[in-house]
Amino acid sequence: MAERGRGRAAGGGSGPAGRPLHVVRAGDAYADWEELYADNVVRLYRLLYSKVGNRVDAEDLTTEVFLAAYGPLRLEASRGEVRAYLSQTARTVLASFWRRRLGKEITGIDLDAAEEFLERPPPDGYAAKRAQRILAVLPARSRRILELRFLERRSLRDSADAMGITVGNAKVLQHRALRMAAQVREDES
Amino acid sequence: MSPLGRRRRPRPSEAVADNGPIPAGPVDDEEAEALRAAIELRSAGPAADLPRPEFVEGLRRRLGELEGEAPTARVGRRAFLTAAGAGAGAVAAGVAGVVADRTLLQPAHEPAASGPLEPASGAWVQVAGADEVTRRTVSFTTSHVVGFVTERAGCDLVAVSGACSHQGCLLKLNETEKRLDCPCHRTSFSSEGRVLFHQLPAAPSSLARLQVRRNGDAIEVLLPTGQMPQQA
Repeated sequence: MAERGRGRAAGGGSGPAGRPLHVVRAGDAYADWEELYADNVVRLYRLLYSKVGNRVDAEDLTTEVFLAAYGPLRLEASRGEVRAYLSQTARTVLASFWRRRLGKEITGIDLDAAEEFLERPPPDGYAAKRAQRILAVLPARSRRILELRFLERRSLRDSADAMGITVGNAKVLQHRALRMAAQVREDES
Repeated sequence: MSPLGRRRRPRPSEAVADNGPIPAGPVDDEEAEALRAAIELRSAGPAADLPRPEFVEGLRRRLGELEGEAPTARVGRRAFLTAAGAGAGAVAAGVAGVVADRTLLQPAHEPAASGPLEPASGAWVQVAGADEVTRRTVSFTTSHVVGFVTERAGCDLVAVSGACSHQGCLLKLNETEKRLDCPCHRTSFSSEGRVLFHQLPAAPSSLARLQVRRNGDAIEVLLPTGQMPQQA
C-alpha cells in the first residue's frame, strides 16, 4: 500500500534529472487523510444508505468506496475534486453491488446530485416528507403496517400485535402495501 | 423457519423492512419496484441513515493501518517533514515515505493564477457541441489558440489555454488521470488550469482562463479575431 500511495501521489517519483517533484496543493485541500475521512464518512454513508436501505450493506459499501479511493485519491486535490472522486467511486461500487447481488440495478447514483449531497448534506430525516406523501395515499391498514415497520422500526411480531393480526397476515399485508407504495412512486415519477 | 412455516429466501424488500442486508438472487420487476419503495421508506425514519459510531471509528482505524502506522503517529511525522522543508524528498526514501507522499510539499510560493485571457478584439467562436463536453474535458484548436474546455458538476463550464504557462509547450489531455500534462518539463495541470505538480525551480502559474459560454447547442469561447492590437 505504501508503494502504491507513493507512485500515485507523487505522479511517478523523481524525474529524469533527479530534481524533486513538487506537488501543488489546492487552496482548500485536506490537511491529511484523517481530515478527509472525517469530513466525508458520514455524508458518504448517508448517501449509500439512501440507496440500499439497510445498515449492513451501507457499511460494506462505504468501506469499499474508501478502500478503493485510498490509493488513487490525492491529498493535494481540492475538496470539490475529492467529492467528485468519491461520488464517481460510489457510483461504480453501487452499480457493481447490484449486479452481483440481484443481477439488476435497483438504485443508481447521479453524479451531480451525489456531489451536491456530499457538499451540502440534507438535514436528518430529509426523506420523511416524500415518504409521508406516499403513505398518505395508501389505505389505512397498508399505511399503518408500513409506518410500524419502516418509520417506527418495529419488528414484524410487534407490528402484528399492534394491529391485532397474526404475523403471517402482517407479512402479507406488508408485501401488498409495499407493492402499492411502489405503484404510487411510479405514478409520481 | 419463516413465520409462514416454510423455508424460502426472504424477499429483498422484506429484508430491508428488517434493516437487514439484501439477500442475493434474481428478482422480478415487481419485487424490484417493491424494493425501491422499501429502500426509500427505510431511509425516511428519523436518524435512520446515520452510521454507528463504532463503524466510523473502525473504518478510520482500518484506513490508518493501511498507512502502516497508528493514526495518532501521523501528526508527529507530518510536523517533522514540515520542519525538514526542502530536505523532505530525501526523507521520502526512508520509513516515512508514505507520509511524505501523502502530505505533499508546499512550494515556497504559489504564483497567483493568471487572469482571464481577454483579447483586445475578440469574437465568440464555437469550439465544441454541448453534448461533447458533458462531464468531460475536450481539446480545441483554432487558428490562434489551443485550449481545453471542461464541464464541471452543475453544468458549469471552464475553458483554459492549452499552452503551458512555463514555456508554452502544448499540453496533452491525459484522460486516464483527468489532467493536462506538459510534454516538456513534467508539469501537470488540472482541467481547470490549476498546477497539480511540477519539476521546476519555481511553480509555474495557473493556465490562463478563457471566457466560455453555452449558446444553444454550442460551446463558445471568446477568441482573438486575428487583428494585432494597435500600438498606443
